[in-house]
Amino acid sequence: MNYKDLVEYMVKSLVDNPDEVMIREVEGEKSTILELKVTKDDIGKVIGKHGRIARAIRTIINASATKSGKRVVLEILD
Amino acid sequence: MKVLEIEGKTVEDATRKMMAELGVDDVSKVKYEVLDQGKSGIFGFGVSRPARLRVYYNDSAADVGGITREILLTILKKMEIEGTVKDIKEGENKVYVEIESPKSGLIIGKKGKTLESLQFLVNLMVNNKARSEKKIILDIESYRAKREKALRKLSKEIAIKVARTGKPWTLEPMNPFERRLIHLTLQNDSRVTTKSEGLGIYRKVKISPNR
Repeated sequence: MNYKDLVEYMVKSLVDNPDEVMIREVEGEKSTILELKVTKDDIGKVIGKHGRIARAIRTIINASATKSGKRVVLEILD
Repeated sequence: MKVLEIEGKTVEDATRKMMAELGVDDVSKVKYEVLDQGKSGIFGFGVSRPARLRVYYNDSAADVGGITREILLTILKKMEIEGTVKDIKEGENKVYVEIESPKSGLIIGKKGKTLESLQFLVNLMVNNKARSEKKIILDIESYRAKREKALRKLSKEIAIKVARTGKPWTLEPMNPFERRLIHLTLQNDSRVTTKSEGLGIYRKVKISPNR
């Protein structure tokens, strides 16, 4: 399962500067951490009002992660 | 009809930008005029002018249904969940999409949370790409109709309980659509009153007895 690819696809379609979307995948034993970086102007577009967009992205990631039993965490860096 | 002006280094460049902007893949579907052919400076000297186009388009110029299908299928593929689009109905303001999948439970999620998130993101992604404002509704195995029926039944049962015991009952948090459904179901029930309480995702309906 390529979480990076999934998140990248969704985030790039949401932001104004898709070329500046950066995602780093940090693989651990029990969990995978996805570090997401976008431009300052786009940060609201990935978080949303009351974190609604970020929550929806996390829900989608978790749905895809149910098979593996691994925990996948999305961190939005600023 | 909306009007948009687009600049580019050359006419071709501006045309390409225009198509990306509108989310269309066929120039013949777009009505536009060239305002300025543009002029490039030679070796950085001289005055360069960008090419400019004026585009006329309807909100329906972009193929919202087609874009929805493409985006939805791409997400499912990247989630590694099998799924196909069984039916798409595109109306004036709405696009209704019916998904079919052997893993429907996974797509729906607990209390429909995953389907809700998927719908929310697909709406943002499609409307961002197509520059449209259509509301996209995702459904799978008539989940929406089933959930509606279940909520109606639940709210009626709780209304009876509240009327009998005289004690108010607060339902679990729900989205605006579901809360509205509860209010409507019990609107004409003289035994109880419904009210929403709490903020954001924690907002829930409280059913209180009338005395």
